[in-house]
Amino acid sequence: MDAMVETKGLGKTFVRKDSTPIHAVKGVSFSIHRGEIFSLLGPNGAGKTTTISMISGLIEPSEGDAYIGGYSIRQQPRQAKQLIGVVPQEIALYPELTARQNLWFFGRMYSLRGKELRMRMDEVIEFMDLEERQHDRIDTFSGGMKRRVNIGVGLLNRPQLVYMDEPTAGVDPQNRRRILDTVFRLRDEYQMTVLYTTHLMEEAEELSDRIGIIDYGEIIALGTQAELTERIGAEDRLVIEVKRPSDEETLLDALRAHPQASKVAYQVDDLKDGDRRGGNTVMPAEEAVLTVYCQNGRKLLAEVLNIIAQQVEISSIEVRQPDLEAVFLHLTGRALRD
Amino acid sequence: MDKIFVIAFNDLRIYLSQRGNLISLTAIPIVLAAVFGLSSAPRGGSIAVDFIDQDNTPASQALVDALLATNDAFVRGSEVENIESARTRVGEGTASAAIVIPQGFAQALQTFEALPILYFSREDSFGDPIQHSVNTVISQLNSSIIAARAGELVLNALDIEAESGALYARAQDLLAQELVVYDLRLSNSEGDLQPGEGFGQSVPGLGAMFVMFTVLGGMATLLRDRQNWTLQRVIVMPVSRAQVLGGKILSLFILGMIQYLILFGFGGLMGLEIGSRIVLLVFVMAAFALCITALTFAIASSIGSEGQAIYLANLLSVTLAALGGGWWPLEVVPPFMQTLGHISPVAWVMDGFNTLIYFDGGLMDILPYVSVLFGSSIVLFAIGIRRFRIVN
Ligand SMILES: Nc1ncnc2c1ncn2[C@@H]1O[C@H](COP(=O)(O)OP(=O)(O)OP(=O)(O)O)[C@@H](O)[C@H]1O
Ligand SMILES: [Mg+2]
Repeated sequence: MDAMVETKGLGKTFVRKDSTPIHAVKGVSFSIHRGEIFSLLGPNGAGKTTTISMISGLIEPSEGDAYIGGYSIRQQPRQAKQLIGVVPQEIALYPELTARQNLWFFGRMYSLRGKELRMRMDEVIEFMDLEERQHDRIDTFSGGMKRRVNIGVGLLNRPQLVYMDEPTAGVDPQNRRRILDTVFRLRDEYQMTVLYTTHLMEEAEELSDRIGIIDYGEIIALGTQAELTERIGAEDRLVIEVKRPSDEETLLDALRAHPQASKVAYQVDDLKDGDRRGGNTVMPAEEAVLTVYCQNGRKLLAEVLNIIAQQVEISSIEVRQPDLEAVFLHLTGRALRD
Repeated sequence: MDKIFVIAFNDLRIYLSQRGNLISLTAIPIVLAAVFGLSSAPRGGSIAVDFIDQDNTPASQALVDALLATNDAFVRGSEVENIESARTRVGEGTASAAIVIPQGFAQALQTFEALPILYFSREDSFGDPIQHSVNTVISQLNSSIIAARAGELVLNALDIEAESGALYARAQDLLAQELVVYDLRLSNSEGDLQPGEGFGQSVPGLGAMFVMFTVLGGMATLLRDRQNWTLQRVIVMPVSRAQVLGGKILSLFILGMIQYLILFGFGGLMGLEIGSRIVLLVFVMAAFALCITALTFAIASSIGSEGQAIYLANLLSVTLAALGGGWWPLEVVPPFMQTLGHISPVAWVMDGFNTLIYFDGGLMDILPYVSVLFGSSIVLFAIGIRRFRIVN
């Protein structure tokens, strides 16, 4: 497949004031196909913004190069930039100007003018649903509306590649929904390629054709969600909350004896008195959580419940399929969301 | 090229869309120029002072010399017969001031009598360099007289050895009767002040200060542009760094020129003669506006926050204006301060304007001053452009 973006050993080392280096991005190589939504998923500080800042020509790479539609961002920045639409993490608009005045200015920066510029502005205003407020100053807009104008500016030049850096940060659920729908429309109606960064697993899962997981400046995994979960051999998890059994070992042994259960975890959260007053008495928990790992959770559920029900009372049951959270946990030993 | 103009246009549009900026661009400078312009008198490179020495003794001549020595710009006016003609000359503006030392001056010094020294001037005391000098010399004179008197009292006291209470009272009495300077200042309306001439100092001087306020204030705008990420957004578009910088430079330069033109336009309305010298005046303005734009870029890269930028812009504007003769003519300050003042670009632009306004100079006459301004612009731009970061 034809690559829209290709990075080759792309890396960035910042030098702190005390001249210690920060390797923000460590020589990453990956490609983004034409017409796909590609997400860079990683925790805060992973290097997402630095990576796209290099791809978009905002900052000079310390090593490697990135090619956009075949143009090197280092050697042919003008041609490369003409293909990109940029939606920065910040609301990069002039608050004193109206939505239209902002669009006009940035349109001119893409060398658009006259009738064509007016047409593109109208198109963007309609697409982002801004007709009513187009003549109002940006500083009178709500956060969600500003985000929409911010995205709109990135679409003015009908780019082949749109990059969006956490475009849903600080946005309420309705506006978030609209933004995610916009991303789909860009791919489906305009055949654009979208490079999307987020630290939210749910967004990456919902949107992406393919996902690159980035951590400490390295792409630690890349592929479709199915490929990623498959690659780590992730299993379903049966999470069962029970009344705490009097004889824990018997129950666990019974579960572990099941041929399809690869692993059984048991967790009780005793409430230490110290949690409240600094004393040492332990208040035994009344509840416990059993987690059974297995290949086909739904099929196994009845049998597992049967074993447990013979010994203790069940309070709740949940079947969890493998997700990116599990992938991240598996690869790094850390949870994505801290 | 086209994008440079669009960037400059956009920056100006943002600047002018804020009402506070409009006020500081127009109302405040005009009001201040009016206040300063109406309260200062005409002047040239030198200030003529008529001395009428009716005493004509070594002591009175020493006083005249002392007065002349206080300020290089003072020159001795013509010998005038009587007080009436001195008054007329000052009223007509032939002389800037007249000082009458009455007969009996030397005698009064000996006997510690109070004696009126007459002083005429058309100026208000604010910004009147002659009166400042007179006051300085007279107060020195007074101090030495008081010291002499006190000494004599002590000697007398030792001789007589009595009436210490009365002696003290007499000392008090004498201290109260200092040599009196009668300040017979004429009011402006009495003299025939040519309208507009007072604006020859205030318009270019305050103009320089407000150009600095406005243009140096652009440091804050540059920082905000980066904080808002609008600067970064522009640079990821097909726009070169040179175009971005060109646009920013152009917008600040134009703002500086607008500021100057507003003030000179106002000066013109108030009677400052602009007419034929307009091209050269604009040339001098451009040199200064460019120099301050370059200064803005040279220091913007070292500033951390918007607050710092605004503080520094105001501090620099006020000190550079005061130092360089934007507030009062440099001729009234001591020679070493005149030299020191020329580290401020304001001193050079004021030299240029003075050459045009007071000495009817031409292009060749202003060239040295303008070259200094253009030269420093080049150096400052070289520093600023190299250090300017689009991404922090
Ligand atoms: N200009 C800079 N100077 C020094 N260090 C930097 C600079 N920009 C980024 N870094 C560092 O590089 C690392 C990666 O930062 P980056 O902004 O790319 O992360 P991110 O994945 O976008 O995070 P977030 O989700 O918080 O936006 C961080 O450790 C950050 O502190
Ligand atoms: Mg980021």
